[in-house]
Amino acid sequence: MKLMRNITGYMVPVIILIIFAVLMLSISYLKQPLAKSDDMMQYVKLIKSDIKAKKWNQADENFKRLKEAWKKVRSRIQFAASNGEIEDLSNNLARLEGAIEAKDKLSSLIELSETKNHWKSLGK
Amino acid sequence: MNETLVVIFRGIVAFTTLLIFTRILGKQQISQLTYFDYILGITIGSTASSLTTDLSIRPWAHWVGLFIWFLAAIILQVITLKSRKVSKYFDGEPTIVIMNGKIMEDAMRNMRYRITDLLEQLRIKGVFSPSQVEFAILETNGKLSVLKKSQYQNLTPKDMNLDTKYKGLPVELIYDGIILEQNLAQVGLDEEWLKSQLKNLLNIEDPSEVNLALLDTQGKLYVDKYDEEVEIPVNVSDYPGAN
Repeated sequence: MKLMRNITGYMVPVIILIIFAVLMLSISYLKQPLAKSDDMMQYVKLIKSDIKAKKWNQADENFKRLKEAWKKVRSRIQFAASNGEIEDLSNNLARLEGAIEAKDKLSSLIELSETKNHWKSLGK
Repeated sequence: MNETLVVIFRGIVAFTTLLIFTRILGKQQISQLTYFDYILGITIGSTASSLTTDLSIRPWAHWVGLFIWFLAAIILQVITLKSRKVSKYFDGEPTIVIMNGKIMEDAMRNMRYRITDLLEQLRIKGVFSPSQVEFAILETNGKLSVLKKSQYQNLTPKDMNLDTKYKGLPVELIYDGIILEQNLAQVGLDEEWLKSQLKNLLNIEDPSEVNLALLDTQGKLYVDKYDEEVEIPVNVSDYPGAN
């Protein structure tokens, strides 16, 4: 009886605190792709090669997939990430969209590089 | 990003964490807090509130901050418990501010404690002149302890050499309509006895009709029922609305 009370008295709060810590530290795992459709870095790579080869239509297609992938990743990491981190990456994608539309190779590559950087720093 | 959901999540984390931390930190009442405990409470509370609503920083950073303050407080508590010297260093010492009716100006100046504060705290204690005071001591939590001169102290049964009966703590037997069997067993009684007492003495059929039942050390039962008809002799309200 006393042992049970000790378990509920000490173990339950400790377990709750550990669960909170794990949830808040989980960005690095949650940003990883669960399926092919949310593999952001794969799309970044594809878009980069599309832009270098000046395949703008294909780059646009892959950008749409990247945007969808970001939506999924964003909903997973929103609880542990800061507002700023999420907004930075969203803004990169918005600018990338415009650069691809304008077929601006220079700006597109800049935005892609920054997107990659922001993605890497998520959870670091 | 769904801000509402995120704030709800962070709110639950902050609330639960704060609850656990304060529960571990101890039972000190607000009125017993030293100045440092007071500041500590404010800081921990404010960090928890930032954890809930400041979405510009990762929750982890706030949470670690909260944890560090909690940890520091626990360490300080343990150290001050073990060492009297450290305890005095951190919490300070009680200071005598009135001795034999004389106000200790130097001690008061050192603590930046005003005469008006002293007189106010004396009045709260029912003392209206420092001349009635043998000792007044300002405690580390800012409260004043007063020892009145013997001629101004209340008369007690001991002064009159009167015998008094033992008076201990009453035991709760029914709380919110539910019989507390553990307490009943503690005083060596059982449910049958309680039910028969309720029925015979107060004509109560079911314990669920009882809001609170206490048994004092004289063996006297105090019972408060839910539906009691109490006549209100004086209405203290002076306007017809809700009060």
